[in-house]
Amino acid sequence: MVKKIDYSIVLKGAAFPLLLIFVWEITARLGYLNALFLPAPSKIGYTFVQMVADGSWAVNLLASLKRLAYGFLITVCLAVPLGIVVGRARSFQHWISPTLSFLQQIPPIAWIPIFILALGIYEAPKIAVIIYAAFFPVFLNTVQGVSSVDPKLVEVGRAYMLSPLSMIRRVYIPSAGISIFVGLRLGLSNCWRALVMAEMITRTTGIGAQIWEGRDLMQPDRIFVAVFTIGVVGLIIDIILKRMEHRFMPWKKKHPGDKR
Amino acid sequence: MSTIANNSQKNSNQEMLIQVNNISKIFTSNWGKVQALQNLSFSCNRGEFVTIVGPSGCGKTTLLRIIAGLERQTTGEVLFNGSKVLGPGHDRAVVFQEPRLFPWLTVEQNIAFGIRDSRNKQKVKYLTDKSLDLVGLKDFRQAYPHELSGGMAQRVAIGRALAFEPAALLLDEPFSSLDVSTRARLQGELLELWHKTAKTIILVTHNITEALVLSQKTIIMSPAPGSVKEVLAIDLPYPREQNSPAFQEKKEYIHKNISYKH
Repeated sequence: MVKKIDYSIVLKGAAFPLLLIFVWEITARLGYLNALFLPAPSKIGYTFVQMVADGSWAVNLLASLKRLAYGFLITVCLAVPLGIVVGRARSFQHWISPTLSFLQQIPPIAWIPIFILALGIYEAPKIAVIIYAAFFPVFLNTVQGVSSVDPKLVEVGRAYMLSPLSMIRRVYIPSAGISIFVGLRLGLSNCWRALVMAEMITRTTGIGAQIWEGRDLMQPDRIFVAVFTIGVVGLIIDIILKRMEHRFMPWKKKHPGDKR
Repeated sequence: MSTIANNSQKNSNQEMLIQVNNISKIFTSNWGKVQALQNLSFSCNRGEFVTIVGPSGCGKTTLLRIIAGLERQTTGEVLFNGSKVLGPGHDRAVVFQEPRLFPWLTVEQNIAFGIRDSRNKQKVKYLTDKSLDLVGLKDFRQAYPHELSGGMAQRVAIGRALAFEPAALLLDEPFSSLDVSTRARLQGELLELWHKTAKTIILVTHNITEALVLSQKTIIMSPAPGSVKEVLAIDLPYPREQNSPAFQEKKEYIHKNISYKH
């Protein structure tokens, strides 16, 4: 079941960043770069090790990941069931889709001041931003997936006497599974980005707050550690979700024509 | 094979299982009303193999869907085992023109799809194994639908219908998208299956030879609006010899009857 890692692809993907870091390091050492905003990669690496050692890196990362987990879980619990209901009732879509299209245009960050006014500066506004950021991709992809379920398969469900609940569980959800999963992936990466923004504005804890802290302290190396952490964590989350997709949907992995 | 012949003898004087009484169906579309079926009646005994033949567009699929309870007739009634058909039921299982398998389920899970008491693992296993055996797919139980050929996929669909434990199988042109040799093989398998399980079978087809190879009785329909032109008993012994004069004669007869002129 587990896909083997193709090392040549990993190598190709890593070649460009490694080259970039190498050139960056050389130019920094030769004194071409202003260390005030572009410290050498080795300096950033050193700071990273230090931050790991004194625990500040993990504290901020965990604070962010905890929010991400809560916010995302709440979103999934809201958006998926709602998406299933709306996806099945076509007429309902006419009622709400203009509103949704309107809301979708507003970036989550635009709501942050309102959320802060309404919810304070601690956890609530950040989680609210995450929910807002992830809701639309998850919801819209669920609606899309459910409303494009093959009516012929639904008819099989009818002919074989499925109860309405079984119909959702055994026909609609698996049919829409691929689409829902795409929504979850999009939603989670939206979440992660929106969270960093929210943390930068509310400036309490978390990776985003760490970036501002680095600016306030004039320590660009700390900023870079945070920025790279954001990128790498985002990447890891995406890889994990892709793997889960293969795991839960084995029929999708093999394409027609492939032999077992 | 002689047992199949006996089977047909045995069933001829049995109780009535399906009774179609004066069915009419009018479809209402944006272009107006279309009468698909008009005052259509026939009956089918328990254990009998009945085919419905007619040119395309004569409403044979609609008729089968009404018997299945997937569609409502405009007037008339269908009695199954004496009670009115008001919707799909546990006594009837449908095999559609396309296999309509669930791509996320394996062959064995697809076959188990309709099993009523799905929490009873023993029963599920028993029925699944039995169906897999009947349709000859034991070695493919773990395969996914996209790994199957058209004929195998349709076998899974038939297996799914059998595992549902219906009294009657309703098949809607199940072999029409298969190549000639696969079709012939599946026809043979269906006959064998009918012999082993003694199920009542109604099969819709536009292929006269198929009707003659398979059934004890064929309902010949005429189009626009669909109605029963003739109910023809096919009293030839199984397995049916397609080159025999009797077979040819029946075929000729139906051809004449099914002509598009009216």
